[in-house]
Amino acid sequence: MTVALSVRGLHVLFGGPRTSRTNGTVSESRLLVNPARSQSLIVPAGYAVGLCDVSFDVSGGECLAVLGESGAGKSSLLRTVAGLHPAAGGSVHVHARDVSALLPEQRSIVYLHQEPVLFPHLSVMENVTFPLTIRGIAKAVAMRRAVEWSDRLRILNVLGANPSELSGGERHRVALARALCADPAVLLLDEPLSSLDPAVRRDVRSALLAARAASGAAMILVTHDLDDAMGVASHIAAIGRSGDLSVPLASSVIVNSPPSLDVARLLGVFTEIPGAVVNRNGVPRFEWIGGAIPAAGFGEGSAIACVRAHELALGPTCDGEQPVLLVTARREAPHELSIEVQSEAGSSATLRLGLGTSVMPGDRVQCTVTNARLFSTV
Amino acid sequence: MRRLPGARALAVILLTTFALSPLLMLLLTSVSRAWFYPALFSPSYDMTAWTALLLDASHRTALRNSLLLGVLTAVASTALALPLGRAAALSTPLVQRTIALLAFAAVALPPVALGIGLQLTVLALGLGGSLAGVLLAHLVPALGYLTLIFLGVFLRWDTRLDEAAATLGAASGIRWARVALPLLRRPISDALALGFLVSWSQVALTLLVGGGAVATLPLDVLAMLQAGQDQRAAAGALALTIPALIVLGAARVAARNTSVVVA
Amino acid sequence: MIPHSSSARTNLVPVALAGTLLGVPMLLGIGYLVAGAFGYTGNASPSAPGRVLTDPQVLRSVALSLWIATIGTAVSLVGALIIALCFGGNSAVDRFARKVSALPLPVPTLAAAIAVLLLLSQSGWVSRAGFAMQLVSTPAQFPALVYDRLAIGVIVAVVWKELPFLALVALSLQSLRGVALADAARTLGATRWQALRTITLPLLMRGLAPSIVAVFVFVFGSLELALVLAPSSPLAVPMLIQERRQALDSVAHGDAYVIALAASAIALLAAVLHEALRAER
Repeated sequence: MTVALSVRGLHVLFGGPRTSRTNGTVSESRLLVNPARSQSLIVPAGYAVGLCDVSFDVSGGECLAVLGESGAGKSSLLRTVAGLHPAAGGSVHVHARDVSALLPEQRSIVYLHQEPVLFPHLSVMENVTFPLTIRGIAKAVAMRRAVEWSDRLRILNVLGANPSELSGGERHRVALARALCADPAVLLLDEPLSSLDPAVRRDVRSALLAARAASGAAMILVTHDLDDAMGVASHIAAIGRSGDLSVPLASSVIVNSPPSLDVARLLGVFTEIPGAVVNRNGVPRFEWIGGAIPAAGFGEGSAIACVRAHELALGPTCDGEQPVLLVTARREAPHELSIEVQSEAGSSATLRLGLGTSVMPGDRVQCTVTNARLFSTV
Repeated sequence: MRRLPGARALAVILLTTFALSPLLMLLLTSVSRAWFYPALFSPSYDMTAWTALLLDASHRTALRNSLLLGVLTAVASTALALPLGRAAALSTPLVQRTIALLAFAAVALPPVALGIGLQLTVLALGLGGSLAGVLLAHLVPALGYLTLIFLGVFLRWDTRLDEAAATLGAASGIRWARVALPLLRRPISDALALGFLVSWSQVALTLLVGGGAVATLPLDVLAMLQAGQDQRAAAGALALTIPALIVLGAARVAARNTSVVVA
Repeated sequence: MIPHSSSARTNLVPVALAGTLLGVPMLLGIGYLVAGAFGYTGNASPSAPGRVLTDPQVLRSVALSLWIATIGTAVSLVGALIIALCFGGNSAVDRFARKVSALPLPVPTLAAAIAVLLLLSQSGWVSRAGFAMQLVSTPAQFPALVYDRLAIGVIVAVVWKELPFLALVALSLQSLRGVALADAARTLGATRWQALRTITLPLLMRGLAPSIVAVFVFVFGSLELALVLAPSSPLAVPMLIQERRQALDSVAHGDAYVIALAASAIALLAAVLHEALRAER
């Protein structure tokens, strides 16, 4: 697969003039970038540097999911790549062509807003054929292509309707069909699934997968939900608190080996166990209220262990060496259990386990950890 | 008040009477004949006032001038206010407020005061007592009013439509023609209607800047009233109202979108 | 409309445009007024603004115009609030009331003034109705509602024209959030009257504030209303300006410019107030 989109050293700006849907002021909390790194940049008035030195590649047919907290700059990143937002440096290449100085309409990059933006004065068919008719393509040809994509995205039955008559899921699929008719090299999806209820969400997710399979476009999907990311994308990157984009990793890799604590937190699937790495007879171990985990190659100091639900087990006390924990609370969630435990010294921790665990408040248990990722907090 | 259906009914009756009686009065007077005190209703009716209004040569000049001034004011002020309102809406809040202030001032200045000043200006330009001079004067409040309207329209504009069209490959000219203009059709026709009305119902500016040399329908109606020709004045007042009633919808939309009155 | 990094620079363009199209004519107009007030236009002699603005006749005119604008705006406001609060619903009666109250909106002020004259003059229709009901027997016995010192006729015409406008603005404010906010107050334990007093009315007044200023300043400066319905002593301000301007002696000419300038200053102050209120809203 060839690289369709290549971003190098992009500095994404926050702020800018007010538009009807955005608040153009720069919020203080997002200015976490090291000032020294942004000193040499030329920043237009009203803007501040948000993300620094962003670089990544996406190949045709691949989908990169970008995770991040609200306000982290995910939308700004997409809008900068699309040319809707000024950048303070770096370059964007589409199929090896430098588009950094080009207008949005010249980049072959389609940007899809979080709420589908359909032209209200045009019918659904006219919306879908829009990118073709503006290029002067004959109406008959344009309609044929529109019908092809509409068939794949299952919106054939609404082609004659008006945008105001469509349901939420239909609007998303029409916007997607319209984007695909433009035959873009790159497709940018700005949190397309965030505001949808579960049924519609599954619907749109399957449409995105169909789009990914059928078009050769490189896709970037911005989301704060790991389920969505793993359901659609092949690779995941995350925007950390310091304004950096982590190196894109395959979904299965990043979920098992997150590159930083920030990213681990964004993924949202780990139990965070605070503790410290201590050298015992020259062997470093991570010690926490529930016991100790080998910490080979780790320096001494406070640390956090990130453990997935299937890597934790709570069982009856049988090992005399291991600390005993008292279960103080049990909460059930749709996919996991949240168990609060307390040590004899009175310190507590909250563990996330699989639904099969049968401990109840009042039980005395010992904890087994089969795998952990350690991150220093020094 | 909802618990007192009688009170509500009374209120509606009073409201209807209040709203309709002046218009009815104009209508009845315009077709009356020899309607003197203390007769409650005219003894006979005819259309002499109307025929005089529409067929007399003197009135025809006034009518023609009013129509010409109205159309020219509408077109010119709309063409100028649209880009002005849009540029203002895309600017910083300080620029927006300054432009809104200027626009409102253009409408708020007492027409008599503005008229005296503009009369001297127009005389200095050599346009004293001419239709062109009166047109320039009418443009001031019309432009102010329409700028406020377009500022409101573009402040509420969904800029994402433009972004979506751009990333779908539409160059800026195409975005204007295929996305923006079709959606602006309604505001533009409202603006044309309101610009027309501002000029059509002008009294003070025409009187002062025209120096009495430019006849328009409102000035004729005033003259008829001051000459005691009630029937003709009433017919004239209704004639003034008819185009305005036709664009009733536009006036309501505009009133909702701005805090400024017209006519 | 796509923001580029150069957008910061283009901010000067709308200011320049607005300055030229809107500002220049007004500046010229006001500039000439200033010139005229100090005798520089050649058809008036320098006038002492102090003398004019303390002239009892001028002050009586200003008082009359302020009276008309204040009472007219206040009554229109009360009527508009009643319509917005009592007829804001969806029943057929509500919709009819709203439609009928909007009828006067597009009627030109001159036509409205003439209609009110025909209705309320001493030989007008209301007087004749009084005659028919044997309440009066001559026109002179009917109270002078037009050309009177209380300017009742003018105020009626003002209310007829401006009440529909304020009602429209109030109705749209109510339909936006007003009902939801009042309901929220009710669920928090406020009585209907408390919700009205502490939530609905303050919010409506805040939203209506710019429109109230607009109505006030428009009524203050309207020549048509003064010409057709206002008394001849004292004259309303627009008429006073006209009278002085058309007078034979040049001192009076200069006076006209001073008064016009003062009226313009009031209007400009109102414009600033209007913008401040609009932004606050």
